[in-house]
Amino acid sequence: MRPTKEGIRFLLATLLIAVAAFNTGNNLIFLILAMMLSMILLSVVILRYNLKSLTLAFSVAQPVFVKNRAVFKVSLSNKKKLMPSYSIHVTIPKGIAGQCVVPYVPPLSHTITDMESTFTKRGIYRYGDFTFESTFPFSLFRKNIKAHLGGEVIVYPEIKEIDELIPELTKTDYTAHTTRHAPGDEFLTIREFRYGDSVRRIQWKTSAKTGKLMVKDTGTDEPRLLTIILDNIKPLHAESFEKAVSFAASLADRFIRLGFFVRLITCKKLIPFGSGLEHLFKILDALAVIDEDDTWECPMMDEMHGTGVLILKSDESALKKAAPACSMVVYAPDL
Amino acid sequence: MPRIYKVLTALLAVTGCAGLFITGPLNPVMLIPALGLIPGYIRLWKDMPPAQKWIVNSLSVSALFLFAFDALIVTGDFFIAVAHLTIVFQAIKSFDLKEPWDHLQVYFMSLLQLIIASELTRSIVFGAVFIIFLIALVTAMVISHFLKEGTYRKIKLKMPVTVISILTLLTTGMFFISAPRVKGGIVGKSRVTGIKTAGFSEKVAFGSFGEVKLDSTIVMRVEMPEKTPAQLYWRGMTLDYFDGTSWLDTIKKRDRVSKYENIFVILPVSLDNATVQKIFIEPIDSDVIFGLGSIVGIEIDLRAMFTDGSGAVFAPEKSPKRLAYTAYSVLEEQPASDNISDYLQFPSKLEKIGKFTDEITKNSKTGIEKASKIENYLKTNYKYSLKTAPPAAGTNPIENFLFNSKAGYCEHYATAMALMLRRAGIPSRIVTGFAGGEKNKYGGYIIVRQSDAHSWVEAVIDRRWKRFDPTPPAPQFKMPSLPSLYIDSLRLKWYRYVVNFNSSDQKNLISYISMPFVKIPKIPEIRIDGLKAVFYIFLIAGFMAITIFLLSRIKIRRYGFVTADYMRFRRYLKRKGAKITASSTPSDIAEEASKLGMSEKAFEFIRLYEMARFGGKELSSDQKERYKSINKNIR
Repeated sequence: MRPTKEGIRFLLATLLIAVAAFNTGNNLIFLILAMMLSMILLSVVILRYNLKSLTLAFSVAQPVFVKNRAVFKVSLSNKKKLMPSYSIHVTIPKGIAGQCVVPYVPPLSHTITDMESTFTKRGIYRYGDFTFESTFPFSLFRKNIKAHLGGEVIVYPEIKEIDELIPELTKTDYTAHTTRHAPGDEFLTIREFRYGDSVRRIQWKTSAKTGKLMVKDTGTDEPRLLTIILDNIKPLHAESFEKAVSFAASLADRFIRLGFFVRLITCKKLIPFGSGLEHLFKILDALAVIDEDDTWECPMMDEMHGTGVLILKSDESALKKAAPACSMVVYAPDL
Repeated sequence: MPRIYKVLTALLAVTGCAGLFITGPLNPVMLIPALGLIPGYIRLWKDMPPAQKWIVNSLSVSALFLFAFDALIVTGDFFIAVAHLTIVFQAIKSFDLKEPWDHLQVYFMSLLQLIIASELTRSIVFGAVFIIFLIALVTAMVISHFLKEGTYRKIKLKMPVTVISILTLLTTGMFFISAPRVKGGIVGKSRVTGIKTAGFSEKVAFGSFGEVKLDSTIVMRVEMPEKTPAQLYWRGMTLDYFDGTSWLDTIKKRDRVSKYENIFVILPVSLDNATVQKIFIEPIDSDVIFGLGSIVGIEIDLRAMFTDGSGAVFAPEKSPKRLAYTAYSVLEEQPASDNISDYLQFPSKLEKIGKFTDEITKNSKTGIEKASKIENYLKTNYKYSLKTAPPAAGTNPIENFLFNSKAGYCEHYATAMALMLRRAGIPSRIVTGFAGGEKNKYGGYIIVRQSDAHSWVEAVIDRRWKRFDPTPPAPQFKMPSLPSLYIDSLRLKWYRYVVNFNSSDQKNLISYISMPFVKIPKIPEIRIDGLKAVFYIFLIAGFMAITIFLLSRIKIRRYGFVTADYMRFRRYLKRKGAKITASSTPSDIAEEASKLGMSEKAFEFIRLYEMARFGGKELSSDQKERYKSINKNIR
């Protein structure tokens, strides 16, 4: 427990009043001194009790992406029977570097507060040490309690608008088909409405029943395929590599949402073709933790099905030899 | 800013000024600036912008000049001038309230005003002001906390504020009771002025009782645990020499009284049968200690007591504060010493009184007969009057009373009788003190007022000092109302339990609480003498610490505010545990700051610092403000 700036002033004033009281023996100054001392005592006692029996739970409402505002749900529980807790600052100093203020937690209850944080790097962040801090009630003293919180949050690479980066991608060659399947009249399934679906495909009757917009999926069973080859072979090019990873993630996001089957090929990791959100997050999980490697061990381009996009860190990349097999080569420094 | 917060700030400012106002000795003209509080806080209430900086600064400088003028010329009292200055500053500050820190400054100033007030008054009104101040301060500080946190609107404040206020009141009481007391203080002296009394100095001019007899100011309050005697004569001092116009106390020798345990023993008699009086006496302009009959023992929180052999008891000096003591008195007549011839002194040129005495006492043989005849004669043939015309030129005031006006008050009667007794060969003296008093049914104590001031006669009859009171009964003054008596009982409690609370009370309280379970060890008394050296050491150490602190600030100020703030930030991080050495660069500082979870603001702060230091141009005013703001908020 440490005094705040105001607390130091208050303590100095108390000291001076104490000198005045003992010097004069005037009981009215003793009365003022008693008031000052009682405020100091209550500051200490209430502050200690305020931070007692608190537990914290953390959860992330939505996936977390680099440079995007991440919102954590901070649930602070007060196990005290009588006294509520006020003005609790919850801080996670390392890693997540988030902070929020919980103004009030009733006794034997909990309060959920949003804590915002923005990450600058992808990867896995462990919650680790967090701090409860408070200056309640008079802001004279500051006390904090450190505790360890298990769990982690995975931060995915930044998702960018790829249309702006590579306008060619939006051309018909790649994105002519907005459904999961090749065009056709054969009925496949009824699924939820997705961005890009034609309004004419909406099944109003089913939508009314389910309460969600549903569309009829028609086509042939021939899926549209996209292979993303990410150059993560050394030498290190930290800046370009991060751009490449972010672009790979953006590409996967865009095309999976368009209904493509997408696979990811990197030095040591291959995520086979797949579609849907679950598959997207498989790719994003891999991209969140990917590092540059020494050797290329992944069987690649044996059978280049569908469209292939090669993302290179530089013009001198060892992977450049794979360029002829790909439909498109993207250089990260140009992104 | 919430309105309640504004109201509380205004209330605290007004409470501080009111605390000073109730003390009395302030100059009414110098209190006029307090009116500035009204428009100041109305502006704040209406969310009007604060006054311009140059106006506030000019007014502040003018206030300092006014203070110098006040201290040197108007009041000539530095302490009172400081009190006036705080009022002026409160008024100026009411026009300049922006940040929460400005409000805190108002609170600190009000606190200072209360401290000044506590040195100028002991009134019970101070107690009321103090309680209002305490509750307002606690509420304002709790609200200030939530405002600072930005969570004011999200909290229901009634419960925490109420609970914390009650707890603060209770713990204040606890600290007040338990704080160790230094008997009489160390080097400070109270500035409370005593009540102007008459008759309790070495020389008492004839006619000086007239004024005080019209004054209803309370001088003493007396609690008598046992039965109250029928006649209450609160004996003060004796006067033995009359020069024709004034009475003098010529017994210069005062003996120090021995103390056994807690009691100063004036006469070595048993206290078992003594009449006990707990007396609370207001600060008066005399060192005389009052009590019924002859005080034989006294329990008082003073370092020494003195007696002059005539039964009068004296404190070492005039007490600037209320005294509370327990007097043990015997009401029986005390034996006279062998050397009583001084009490037969008679001024020349008053021979007419001699013949007059002879006429009245012509058939009396014994001393008691003569004394009783004189007493009765004066009581029955003269009128009590406070309106006495001055005697004609060349006429002695006593002769004028006895032979012309035949009306007067106690002083006339007592003097006339004392002189007549002396003329009849009976040693006599004048005793000054108070007679009577009214019983307050709220509290069951006796109130003694200035108007009860009295003088009577003591004469040696059968080798004992016998009291005679030749003054006829005075007309009754208007009786005090019941509410005023009730308020006075509260006042007594205030004096008894707050103003005069001392180490003896602490001991009694501890004994009361712990008995009969624990035997309390003897608590040593803290005396002033031994503490003086400690006080001066603390004073010097404090002065040196402040000087070093100010010098360090001056050293930092040399660099200009940008570097000064940067250095402060470095020191702050170091205190927080960051690894910062003399060779740490701004980038290192930023990195260390980010490790402590303040990356964003720290980077911006360092960027602005580098821009100012190495960028080759000054920061814009917005950037300066931003720089200051980050530095303020980051810590």
